[in-house]
Amino acid sequence: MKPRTFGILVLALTLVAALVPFLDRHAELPIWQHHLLHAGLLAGGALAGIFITARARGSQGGNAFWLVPALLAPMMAMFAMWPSAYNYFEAHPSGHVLEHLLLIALAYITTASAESYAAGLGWIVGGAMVFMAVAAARGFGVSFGNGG
Amino acid sequence: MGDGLLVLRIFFVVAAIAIAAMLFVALYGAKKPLPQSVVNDAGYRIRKLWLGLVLVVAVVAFALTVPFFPYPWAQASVGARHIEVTAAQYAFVMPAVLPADVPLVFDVTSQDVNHGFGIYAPDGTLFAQVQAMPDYINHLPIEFHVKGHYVVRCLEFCGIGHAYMHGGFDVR
Amino acid sequence: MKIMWTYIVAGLTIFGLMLLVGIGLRASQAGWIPIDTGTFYSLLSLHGVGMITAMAIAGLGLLWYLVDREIHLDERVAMLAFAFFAIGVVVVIVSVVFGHYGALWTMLYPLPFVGTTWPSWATGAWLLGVAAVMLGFMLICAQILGAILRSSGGLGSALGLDYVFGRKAFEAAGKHPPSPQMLAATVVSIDGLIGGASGLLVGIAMIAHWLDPHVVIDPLWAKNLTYQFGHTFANLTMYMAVAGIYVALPICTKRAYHSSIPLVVAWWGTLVFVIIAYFHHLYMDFVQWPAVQYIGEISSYLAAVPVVVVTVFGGLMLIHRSGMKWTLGSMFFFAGMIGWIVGGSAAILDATIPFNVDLHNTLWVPAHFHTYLLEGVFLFILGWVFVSLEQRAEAASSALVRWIVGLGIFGGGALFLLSFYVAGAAGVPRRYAVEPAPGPFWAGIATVGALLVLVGVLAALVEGIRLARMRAVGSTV
Ligand code: HEM
Ligand SMILES: [Cu+2]
Repeated sequence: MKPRTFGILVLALTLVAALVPFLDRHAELPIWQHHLLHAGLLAGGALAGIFITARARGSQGGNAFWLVPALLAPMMAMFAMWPSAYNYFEAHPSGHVLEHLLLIALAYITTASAESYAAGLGWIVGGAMVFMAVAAARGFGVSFGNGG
Repeated sequence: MGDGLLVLRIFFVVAAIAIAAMLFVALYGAKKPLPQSVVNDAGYRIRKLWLGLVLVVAVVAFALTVPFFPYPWAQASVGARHIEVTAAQYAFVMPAVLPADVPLVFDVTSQDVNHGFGIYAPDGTLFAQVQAMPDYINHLPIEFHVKGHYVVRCLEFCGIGHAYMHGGFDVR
Repeated sequence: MKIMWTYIVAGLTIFGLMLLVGIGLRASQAGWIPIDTGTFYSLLSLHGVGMITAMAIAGLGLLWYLVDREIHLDERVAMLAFAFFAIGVVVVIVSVVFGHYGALWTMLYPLPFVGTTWPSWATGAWLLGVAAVMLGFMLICAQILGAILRSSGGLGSALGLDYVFGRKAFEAAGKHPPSPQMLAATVVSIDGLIGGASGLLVGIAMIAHWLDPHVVIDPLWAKNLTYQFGHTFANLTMYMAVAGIYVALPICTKRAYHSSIPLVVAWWGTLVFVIIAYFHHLYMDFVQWPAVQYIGEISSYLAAVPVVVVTVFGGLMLIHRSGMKWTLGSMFFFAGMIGWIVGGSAAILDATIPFNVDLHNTLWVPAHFHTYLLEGVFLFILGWVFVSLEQRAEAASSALVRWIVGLGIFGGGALFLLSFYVAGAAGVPRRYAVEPAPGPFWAGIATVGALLVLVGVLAALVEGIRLARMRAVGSTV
């Protein structure tokens, strides 16, 4: 399979996964699990971005200004995981699916732009983004405490 | 526990040795220039030994210190008396008198922001500490053998009153 | 060159201003000048974030230049990053000067929101200002890392994997391992992106909480991320400046410095330990997962190995018996290595958990980091500046100037630092506007030391300008 084909396949699967709120309308996930699912969507979008854009290793690479979207998109993705909005989205599946599409798009932009600047950079920037989303599950919008 | 001055002494010795060694290299080494290859041959040999020494010191230091870790799981705090401590901007709420020679566990938490629960012994040295956090309870096991007045100071920046946040208790 | 000097001059300018602020703070702790508590913490917030940013900007300028020498980098991106820095610095200053923000640079959630004496906008401005600085920092990291990936054909060879595992074939193919300064650049930019990600995450969570207080945050989680970011960011300023050693010391000693397997492996160690050593900031959080306390101590120890066994040892091997001339430049590099080792030793002692009980959040902490920031990072930057200037002007400074600068910066610095150490060992807490005894006494001694540092820095400034202008006068271009 060519990298591009693989990327398109991953993108298709991720987009299907984004539709889950339509299927399971009554799911009420705790915030941390919700974050983790979003991390999965981000990982899908990020992989798609890498494989669809992939260049030959060591090739000249493009304009360094690709780095601006590559750094801003993950920040926007974190804002899109705004925890206090989860209740609203759980009640409005179409809004929820839109949110998922936004996340995937941001992840795709992140790695596709990074790869456009330099082959391989998408893995690092995308990895950092998925790390942020996974880490968010431990405390962004939730507090665990130790209850004594 | 109250070992600040010991650490300071160790530090002075280590720093003095390091500075002396480096000055030696620079000043003695400034005298008669040698070709780089000669210096390198000797240097790489010394470096092997040096690496070994540094690693041994690191591992030994680690092994020696583990038994002294202050964490609750490292000590038998079963059956100890629990003392609640609640920090809030800018005071500590806790009993004013505590018993000597009895195993205690401080259950330390905070009502607002992060604080530090620092206990100073009657001789003024920092004796023990633990963080006071909102949503969490930190357990600090301790046993007092010296009677007298202990001062408590906040050891985590908590706002404008941080430097004035102190309390205390008597051990009898 | 233009980018490098823009960054370094900007960094040193901020440094100079923050130095004055620092002296004011210490004099106030000594009770010599009256600063009210609120203003004290606003100024301390400014001093902390300002100094770290100053060193980062200057260090990045140096690193960017060294990378650009080997593989071309786009100047416009460096200027864009500089704009982020400038905006961030201005917004932070506004937040402090007009908003009286005062929750310090590593504000632990929920601190900047609870019991504050300043308006909410100042907290928001502070968060956004720091975020802008981080963005600039990450932009440079990503630019450098991308360019390195491009030229080396992948992360593996950028980190020298193929060189270490298969040296024979590697050398037979006529390939060269990455130069020491490129290794430094690779490690700094990877760790910078990781630390930046932590910082952005907790920063975004706090901005979200600022805009919508319903967004709760786990305090332990916030503490971990804040220190992961803070430790990494502060620590990396050193590793940026270190790249300067690899290039400038060979110039001073007229010797060569090449990559070797120990050097490459040492940098792998740095890559890992810089991002996990931060656990030592949470030793006094007994609720933290136990295993990471052990990892914290071990990785803090191991973080020292590359420094003492490879970089500083290698630096000394360059100097030893080389007949190096003592100019301001070489003096700064040499003294910087001493400061690095001494500050590092103090850090290691503090990273030893049973000792940390006695030192955590006492003045020992600023003692050790001022040692390796003021007498380490800052000296490497100055060393770089002076080696460059001396080369361009083909001149050096008189012995008198060297003595004034040396006595001021090293002698005064030693006095300034010693007081931090002694007071810290006596248990005087850090970040106290008004300290218990014996704090104020040592603060007085420290202030004298800091004023001597100021004299030394001013003398270096005058001398630097003199050397820079010699070129302008004698130059034909
Ligand atoms: C002679 C020059 C300097 C003086 C007089 C000075 C003074 C001070 C003082 C009094 C404090 C507060 C200590 C406490 O009570 O906690 C402090 C904190 C600090 N300083 Fe300096 N300093 C100097 C140089 C530097 C340099 C060169 C750097 C970094 C490159 C630096 C970075 C910091 C940081 C990060 C803090 C911590 C702020 C905080 O606690 O949030 N300082 N300095
Ligand atoms: Cu406090």
